Amino acid sequence: MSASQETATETTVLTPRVGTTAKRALYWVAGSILVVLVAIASLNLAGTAVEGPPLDPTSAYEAGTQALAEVLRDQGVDVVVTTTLDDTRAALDSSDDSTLFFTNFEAYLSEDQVAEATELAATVVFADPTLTELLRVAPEVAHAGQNSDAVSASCSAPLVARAPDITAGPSNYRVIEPSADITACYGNDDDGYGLIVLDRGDTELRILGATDALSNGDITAADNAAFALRLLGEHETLVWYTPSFLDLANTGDAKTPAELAPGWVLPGVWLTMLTLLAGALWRGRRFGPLVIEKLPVTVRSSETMQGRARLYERSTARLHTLDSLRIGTIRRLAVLCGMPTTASVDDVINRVSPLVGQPIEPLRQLLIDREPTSDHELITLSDELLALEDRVHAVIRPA
Amino acid sequence: MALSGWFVALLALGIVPIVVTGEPFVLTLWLLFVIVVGAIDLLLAVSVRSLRFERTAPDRVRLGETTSSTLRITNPTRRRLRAVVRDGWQPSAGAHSNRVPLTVPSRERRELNTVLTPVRRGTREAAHVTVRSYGPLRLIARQTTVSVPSSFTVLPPFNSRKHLPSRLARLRELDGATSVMIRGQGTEFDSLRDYVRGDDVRSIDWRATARRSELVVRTWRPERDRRVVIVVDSGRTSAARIEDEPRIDTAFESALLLAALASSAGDHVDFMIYDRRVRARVQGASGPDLLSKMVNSMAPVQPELIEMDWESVPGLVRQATTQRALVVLATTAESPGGSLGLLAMLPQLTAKHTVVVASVTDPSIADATLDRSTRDSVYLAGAAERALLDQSRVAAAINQLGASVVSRRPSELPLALADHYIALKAAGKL
Repeated sequence: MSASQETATETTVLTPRVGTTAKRALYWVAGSILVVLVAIASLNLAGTAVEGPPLDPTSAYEAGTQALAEVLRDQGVDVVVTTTLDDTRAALDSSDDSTLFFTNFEAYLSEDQVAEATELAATVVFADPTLTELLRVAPEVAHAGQNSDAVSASCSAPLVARAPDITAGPSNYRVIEPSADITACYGNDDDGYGLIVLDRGDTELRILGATDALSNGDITAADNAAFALRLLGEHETLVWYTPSFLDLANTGDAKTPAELAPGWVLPGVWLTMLTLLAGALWRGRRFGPLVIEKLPVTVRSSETMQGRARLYERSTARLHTLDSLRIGTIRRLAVLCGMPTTASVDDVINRVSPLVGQPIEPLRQLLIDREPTSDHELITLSDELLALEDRVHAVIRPA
Repeated sequence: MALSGWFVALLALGIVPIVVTGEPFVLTLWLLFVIVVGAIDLLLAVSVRSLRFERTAPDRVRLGETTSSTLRITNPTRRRLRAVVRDGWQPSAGAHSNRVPLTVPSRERRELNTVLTPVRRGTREAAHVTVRSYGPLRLIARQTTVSVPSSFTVLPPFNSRKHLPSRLARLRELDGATSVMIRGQGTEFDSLRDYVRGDDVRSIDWRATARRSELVVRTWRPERDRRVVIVVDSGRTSAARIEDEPRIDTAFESALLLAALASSAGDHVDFMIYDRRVRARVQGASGPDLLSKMVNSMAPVQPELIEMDWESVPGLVRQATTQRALVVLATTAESPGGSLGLLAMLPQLTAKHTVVVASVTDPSIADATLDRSTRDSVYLAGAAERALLDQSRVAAAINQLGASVVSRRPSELPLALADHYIALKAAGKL
């Protein structure tokens, strides 16, 4: 086997050149860039299906309040939209005659900031305050659950004179310490009110639960429009303050982990990640393509036998199984006793009986007649068959 | 392109200046440094495209033996090649180490030996060579795969050849050629010779004794120049694996031992592998040529998942010889259903020839009959007994049709078949 063969002196390179790979990749890179561009364009054109934030004066969605803001502008009110407390303060400082509308439903503001906001303008409309915020800014008023029915004015304040019926909800408030300075309007049967006006001397704080009445969706229903214009359009300027995450940074002196950590931590983390990436590339790079090998078919030879065994078991073919075992035993006994494998059962029994010193009848029972009624009986009988073979073997060929 | 562990280590080393200075921009500087150094290293690496490759593969090898292939790599460039080379052999070619570091100085050539211990019969191929050529700093490598195809043939192992001397000795005894005085049982009269103590007295030729006044015995020799036709079934039943050996491999072993024996006994051997078409055929060869032709023809044959076409077998045998012959069918005789074709065809062969069916039995079936420990195993034992009964029924049917059956476990079948052949020869039944 020493004869050898020489092969291939001419070099055929299978790995494509960098330029070829780049050219091939170009199609896909260009394609993916195009897909991303189209996706961005279409998303911008069609807009997202997501609802905008509620009570946002720039949002044209059902929960927004762009309609109200625009109408107020048409009416000559200077609507200023702010997103931070500092901007709000600046906007209010530049004008004496102003209304502040704000809400804190996304909880960007701390309680201190809420308290500060409620004192910034002559008229402050605080929409949808929570229980804890009320405890801080207006302990006389409590939350009274959710209710969204239409309600009627039920008070005599001039503010609501033109709007006897509005859409209530989502929140209601209740006065728990009534006094002359507190006016509650738009009440329901449960003592919950959609608007509570607290007169604090230099500030009038209006706690508004019925914010649905301001939304684009409901502004045209009932007397909502009249109510809203009256509520917010009293002064020359309306500062519409929507707190944002920019307010969060001003919460206190606590330093963020980024400020506390030494300067090398962030670049260190970056370097670690890059090292891990390089490590993955190092270990994961395949050393050339696989060599293909055609594998031969392989069949397990005992598959038929095992399939048959499962079939017997599933159909509890006990007698059939036992008969197979009996036939095997009888054939082996016949061979042991020097008879042909074709010897009849009776001949085998007659020969075996004196050998093992057992009467013919029980042997007949074991080898022919008994029918197993349970798996336990089947196992016992099969063990007896083996034992019989062992005894005959011991008699004929003693060790 | 491929990165090395050194590149990763160099990148990780950047943590030192970053921690020492504590400045974030050091990260950028370090990354820039690593990239520039890596790029320079990559540019300095020898291009694999300029290398020249030559592979010398062995022509053929027996299964189980070890051989080696040589890969010569010439570096015609002015730079030193520092590389790791992977010789792309198929997994079953059994390459011992296929990632070898190699340095080839400028304008020199180096040899790379790949030790191969194939694990499967047939044609084993190498498709390509992959080289990672590193720069002087070993940071980044150019990785390129070059097609360098070659192949070699793995022959059947013929492990049973270790039995050959003892069986050949038996043959010589039959021949009367050895000093052991056994009268040849053959039917052809060979010669007269002096009586030696121990000879069978029945073979004394009294007429010759009378003439020479010394006891003279007649010797016979077994017939020579008989035909032996071996047909191996490569159909679906031959794909079954018993004791970690496919049936067809056992059949090949048996056929090789029988052919070696028969050809040295002076018989003519014809060999064919058949399922629905002739997969291999060896005719009219003798002596050492026969065995080498046989192993070469067997090497690439694998069983196919189709039913054996027994109807054409008598025709094939007729093509091989018109004389009376010993026809050995290496197949599976296990279930009455699966052997219908064989049983239907047998009378055509037995009418003219001596037919032996060699079949591999699964020893796990006999083992299964003895395990009665659990409910499942009792049912399995029942099924196993049924399988054994089926086997003996098929064997009985084959015997009834005038053929004989040799069925043994894979390790015993070749020897049993050889012994059967010797017995037939001794009885003068060929």
